[in-house]
Amino acid sequence: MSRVLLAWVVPGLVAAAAFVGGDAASDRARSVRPEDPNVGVSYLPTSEALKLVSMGYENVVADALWLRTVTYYGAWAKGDHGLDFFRELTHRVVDLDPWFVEGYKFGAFVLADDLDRMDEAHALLAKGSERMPNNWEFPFNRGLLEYTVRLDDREAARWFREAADTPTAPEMAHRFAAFVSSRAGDLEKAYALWRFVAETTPNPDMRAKAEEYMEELAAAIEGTGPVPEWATRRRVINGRVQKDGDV
Amino acid sequence: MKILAIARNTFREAVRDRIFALVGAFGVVLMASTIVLSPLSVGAQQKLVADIGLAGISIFAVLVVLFVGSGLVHKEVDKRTIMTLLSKPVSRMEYLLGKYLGLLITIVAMMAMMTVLFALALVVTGTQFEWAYLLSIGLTLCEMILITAVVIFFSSFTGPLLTALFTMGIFISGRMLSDLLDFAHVTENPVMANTVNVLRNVLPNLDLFDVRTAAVHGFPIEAGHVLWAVVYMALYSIGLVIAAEFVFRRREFK
Repeated sequence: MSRVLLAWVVPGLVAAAAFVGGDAASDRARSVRPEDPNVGVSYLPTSEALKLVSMGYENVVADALWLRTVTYYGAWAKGDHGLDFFRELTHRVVDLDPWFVEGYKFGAFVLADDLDRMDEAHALLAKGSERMPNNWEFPFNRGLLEYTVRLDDREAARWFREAADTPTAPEMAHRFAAFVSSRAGDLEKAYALWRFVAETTPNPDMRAKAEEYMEELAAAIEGTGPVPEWATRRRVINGRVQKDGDV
Repeated sequence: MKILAIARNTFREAVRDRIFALVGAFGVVLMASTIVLSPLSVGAQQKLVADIGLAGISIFAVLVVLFVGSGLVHKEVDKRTIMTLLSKPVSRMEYLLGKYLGLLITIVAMMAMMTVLFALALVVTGTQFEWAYLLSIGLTLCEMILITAVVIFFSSFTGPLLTALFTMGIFISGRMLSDLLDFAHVTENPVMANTVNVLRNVLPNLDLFDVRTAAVHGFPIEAGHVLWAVVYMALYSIGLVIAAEFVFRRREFK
């Protein structure tokens, strides 16, 4: 009995105590760490360095960074920290896996809509277009951002036309090019665009956001709710600046 | 027949060493990643499952080649069983080919099991199966056949630690060969450029066997590419086994 005690029970108890103690120490260390507005991303090697060390497994490293990007964004949405590293994270993901279209789309959307960095969003999508010139989704998403975030119909129509001109473009891109160039009511156009996003994106964050906008727009169209604040911002239509209510 | 007998014995030894426990580890990694990580992958579930599955098969196969292959000859030298074996009418080439084949059978069995687990993960996550995945796994097998020849070559004249280190070095540099070529193009140092150019002809170009990205993103994989990769693997492996026999023939066992 005493032999069993010495061989199994005592070491087992010591090990368990060590694990519990280690966990408590880790919690304590975390609680006294100086506050960092970008907790979670303290160091990000360059894309070239990451490619070199991944030894042909770039896709898996890209996946790991993608998960990091998504959780980083999620923590920001909860108010845990800033989004200063978001652009860098997104670029690393698409540099390691240049054909990961969703990475460009989600990254550009967050940069434009959440961070108000439209130029960086365009740059990210332009990078995708450079790597996949025949992919209609990049110009299409640039149009989408112009229409829904910057509220510039003329630019949006230009990008939708460019998307429609790519050899792989579905009928949808042609429809939107014509749609945005037409004089249809803005709220209906916006609703249709967001519905397209909600129906086509595999990204639940994007879908949730699109559905939220659709709900607001539907209420405004039916007259049961106010026109959303983001839709009443000043916009550029056909080259001249005017208020949304003027349309 | 002698080759097959040695191969069978090598395979049995690998099984006895519980090498197939690695398959279990692969299964746990794959299932955990699909169950835990997939919901977090936000629109990239199919890509994530395929990436991890295909890369996992490659990584675990390399580990087996390194850990089993590096001690393959040394273990017999250490136990002196090699002397008993070579005192029989077994040529050194037959001995090496038997070891090589045995290790390949182990790799094929392991990769087959991992492929089944991968297919299971695809079913569990509702991810669409693509024939290109099988093609990618096939080319990974070709890569392993070549790396096994590398490990056989080094194990014919060095100990297990050096064999593992050298093979690892060849694997890493073979994977980074395209970066080396880029470096040769941009460097202004002619000595460096010439050295790199020599290296590119000596080191195996393992990039040829990596079609994982194309398989995952649905890009076409040219039949010509696959064919030439297989030819390259066959020629390079034959060359290495012949070189291994050349060195092994001159080795004396006391």
